[in-house]
Amino acid sequence: MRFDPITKEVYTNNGEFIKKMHCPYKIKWDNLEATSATSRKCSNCDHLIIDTEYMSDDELLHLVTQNRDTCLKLDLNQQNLQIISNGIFEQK
Amino acid sequence: MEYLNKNKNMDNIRIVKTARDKKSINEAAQQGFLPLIKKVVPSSEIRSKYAVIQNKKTGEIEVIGDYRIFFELEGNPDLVTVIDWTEYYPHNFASPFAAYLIPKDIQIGERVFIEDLIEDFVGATWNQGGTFRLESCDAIWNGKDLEIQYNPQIDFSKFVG
Repeated sequence: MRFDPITKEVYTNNGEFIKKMHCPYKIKWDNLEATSATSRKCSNCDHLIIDTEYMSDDELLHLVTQNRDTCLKLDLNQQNLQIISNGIFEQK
Repeated sequence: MEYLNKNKNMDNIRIVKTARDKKSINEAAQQGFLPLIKKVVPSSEIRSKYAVIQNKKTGEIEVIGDYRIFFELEGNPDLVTVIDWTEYYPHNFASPFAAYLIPKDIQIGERVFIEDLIEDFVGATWNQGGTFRLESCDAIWNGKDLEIQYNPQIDFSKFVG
C-alpha cells in the first residue's frame, strides 16, 4: 500500500487508487471505541474504522470497492505502507 | 478531556475558516468577518524527501519518497538515480499571506476550531525522518489573536479517514 501524506491519497503498490483519506471530524484513532482487534467505531457517524496494518492491497481494495465510504486507519510507520509524496510534483 | 479536544471538532465548537488570497479575504470582510491576516511562513521543521530515478532507455522518470521503494527499484540496470535523496518543503501556497476569518460576535476566551491552519505545526512524523504539517487545530480567541492550542506530545503518526 502506498500513501501520499500531502494529498492524503491511498494507492496499491501497483498504483491503483484506493481512496482519499478525509475525516470531517478530525477523529483520532486513540479516541475511538474498540470493537475488535482491527476495527474501532466512530460515535460521530457510526462508521467502523478499519486498521490497515495487516491488510494486503487486494483485501483493502476489495473492502473499499464493496463500500466506498469505508473509513481506514493507517500509521505512517506501519510495515506494509510506503510513503509517496508526489502531490507537489504534479501541481501545475 | 483536554486530550480529547485536540485536533478535532468533537464538541461542535465554532469553526473558523481561512481565506488564502486577497479576493477571498475581501469578500469575507464584505460579509462581516474580521480577517486576521497572517504571513504564510514555511517552517524548517516540515520536511519531506525525494529522489528522482530515470530510465536510461526511455528517459522517463519516477519520483520516490520512501527508501523501501528505492530498494525495490535498485536491482533494475536500466534505472539510474539522477537526483539523490533531497529534503524539501512539501507545500506550495499560492499567496504569501492568508487570513483567519473571525466572526464579529466572537467572545474573548471562546474556543474555536481552525479548519485550515496558516501556521506550520508538525502534524505527523515518520520513522524515516519526514514530518508533515498539521491541517487543523483548536484555538482560543484572546481579543486580538487566536492562540493555537497545539500539543506536540500527541502521537501524530496515525491518519483516519
